[in-house]
Amino acid sequence: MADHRRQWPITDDLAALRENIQRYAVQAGLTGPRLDDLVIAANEAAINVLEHGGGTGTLAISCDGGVVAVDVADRVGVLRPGSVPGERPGGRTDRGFGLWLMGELCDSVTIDHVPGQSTVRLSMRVDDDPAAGATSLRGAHSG
Amino acid sequence: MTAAVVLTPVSVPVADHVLVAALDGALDYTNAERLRLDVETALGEDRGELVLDLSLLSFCDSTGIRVLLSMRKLLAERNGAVTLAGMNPRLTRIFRTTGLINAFAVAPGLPEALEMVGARTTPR
Repeated sequence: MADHRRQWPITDDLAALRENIQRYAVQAGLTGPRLDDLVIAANEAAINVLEHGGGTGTLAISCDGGVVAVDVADRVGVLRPGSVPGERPGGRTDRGFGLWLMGELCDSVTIDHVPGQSTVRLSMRVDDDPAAGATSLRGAHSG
Repeated sequence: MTAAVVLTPVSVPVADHVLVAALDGALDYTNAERLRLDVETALGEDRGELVLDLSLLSFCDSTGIRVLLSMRKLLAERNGAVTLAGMNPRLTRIFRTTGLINAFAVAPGLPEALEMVGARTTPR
């Protein structure tokens, strides 16, 4: 089953990272627009690490209780809980724009902060999409 | 291997001031700046209309959209516009969610895009 945790370093090979996220999320039962949304959002979170978050970090993905979670951790720790803008930022606040977009695309975006590290968590329920039907991992948190 | 995006001019009969080109690959943070230079070079000093066939573009992120917005700004100064054709559902999704789809003329395919540009630019 897909509910074990996988982790990759964030490098400028975003194409490979998107492939890895997509493969895992498909296995976990995400399909269609919600699959696209998670891949787009995770890519934005990785860009933020490359552009504003010190350039190195890790992306981890897991599935627990029918929720796919992507954790994107940087080594700077500037982002705090509450950094996700509720409305689309104007102007050149690019990092804010990416965070706003993640919030629009995912079921939830939360930020965990410890000194020297911020982790953005993107969550997507698997069973939200009726089309996922038989492949849904409802109750797959047993593993 | 990092993502690659390739700009290829499409040879169709259009007015001299129109650049028609196709994007193939994935447009993201790692290649957006290079693509911006490629498009600017292909536009040259005189072309004021850009038609991009995106039917072979599998992915575009916010950095890619920023590049297209900078093209839009450049062409607005020349009284022209950017017309996007053949976006897949994932591309359409990010353009719609960001609200930036309204910044561009959007056509289902290249023939429709060329019609739109022709109708907009035909001298009266």
